[in-house]
Amino acid sequence: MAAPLLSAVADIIDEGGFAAVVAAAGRGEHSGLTDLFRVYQPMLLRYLRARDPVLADDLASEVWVAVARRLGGFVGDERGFRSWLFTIARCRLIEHRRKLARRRTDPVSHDRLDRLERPPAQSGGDDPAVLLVERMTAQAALDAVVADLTSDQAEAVLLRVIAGFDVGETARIMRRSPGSVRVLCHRALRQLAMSLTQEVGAE
Amino acid sequence: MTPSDDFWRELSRIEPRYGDLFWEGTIDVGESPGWCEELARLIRVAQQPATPDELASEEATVAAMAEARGTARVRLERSPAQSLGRVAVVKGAVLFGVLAGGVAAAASTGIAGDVVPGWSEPPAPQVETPPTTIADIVEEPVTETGAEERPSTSGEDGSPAVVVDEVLPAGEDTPVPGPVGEAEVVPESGEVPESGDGPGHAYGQDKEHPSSAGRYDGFPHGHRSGDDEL
Repeated sequence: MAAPLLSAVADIIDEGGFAAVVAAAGRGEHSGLTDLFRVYQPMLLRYLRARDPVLADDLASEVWVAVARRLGGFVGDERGFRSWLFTIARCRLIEHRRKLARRRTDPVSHDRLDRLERPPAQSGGDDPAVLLVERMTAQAALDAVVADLTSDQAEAVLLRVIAGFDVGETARIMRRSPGSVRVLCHRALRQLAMSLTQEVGAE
Repeated sequence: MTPSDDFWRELSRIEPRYGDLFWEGTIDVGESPGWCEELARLIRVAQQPATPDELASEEATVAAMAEARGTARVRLERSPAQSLGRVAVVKGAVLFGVLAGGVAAAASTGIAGDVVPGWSEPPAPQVETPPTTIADIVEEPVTETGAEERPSTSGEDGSPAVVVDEVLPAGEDTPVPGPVGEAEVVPESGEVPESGDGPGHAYGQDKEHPSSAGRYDGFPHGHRSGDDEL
């Protein structure tokens, strides 16, 4: 796992063993619950914020409470836990969207606009395009990646980019066939290539 | 060959080789076209380590998790007998509620009279309407005494009308007046109506003494002719 976001997962496995952390969390111990939260909350929150920026934080809290309730019955390794976590998150997201469709409201997140308009100042190169990207926050970059994608394409890309799943795990979470997920990712890549090519051409 | 053809050919060449590497953020974009480099850079930024704002809710969320975990453990540790007893209590309460609601609904709709033998609807409560006019208020006490039915009786000497409860033949003692409310209307002529005729037919009748029924003895209740020496 070379991605920095997933390096924390590697750390938790190396240090004490994932099973020990899950067992401690299952007993309700504060340390076990905190370890799980610190490792998986960033990727969970980025996934949810990319899908629903308004209620992402609330949904993340709901997901964690649901995980805690069912943690006693969990059996599996780290990848199984990650897959379980994102399955719960996706289900909560779908439930929320169904409710939202019935209410027919479309709130706008000011936080999201703030994140796009006021990226933190960081050192970058001389190239303005590179500087712009490097000044983006992780969430802003993720939003830029999925901005032109369809909902299913964005879902597949997020699960692969943020959660680090392969095609098979992504297919299980999305309840699709692996071939379908491959097609979604391929189309997403084509769409991104077209969008980025137009941007480069416009510059 | 158009630029678009070049683009698709290039994409079809790149995607099978680098597709997974793109999403994992591990692609080396050294000799790839410009959009590949751009996309790889975006993905790398998106996979940056956690920021403080993403862990800001740690305390509250972990507390909620611990509480949820504690509740779940209590549920798991509950004995089967406790669970069965709880289920029985809930079922009993639901059954009682359904029965009570059904009986109340049947009583309110009147269905119970057809279904339950011996059931009869309770009589409708009589509502006493208060007087609404002054006339009602004035007339009410008069009605109780029955005085409005008493015509003015004037004596032979033209004396003011007096209320008499009974009229006796001339020469007889004045009887003791009967109880209030039993006075009857007596014709001005002073004739004593025959028993069973006219409005005074009930006068002197004592239902407690059947022997005197229908017979006028000229005495009030409990006073029969012949019992006393006149």
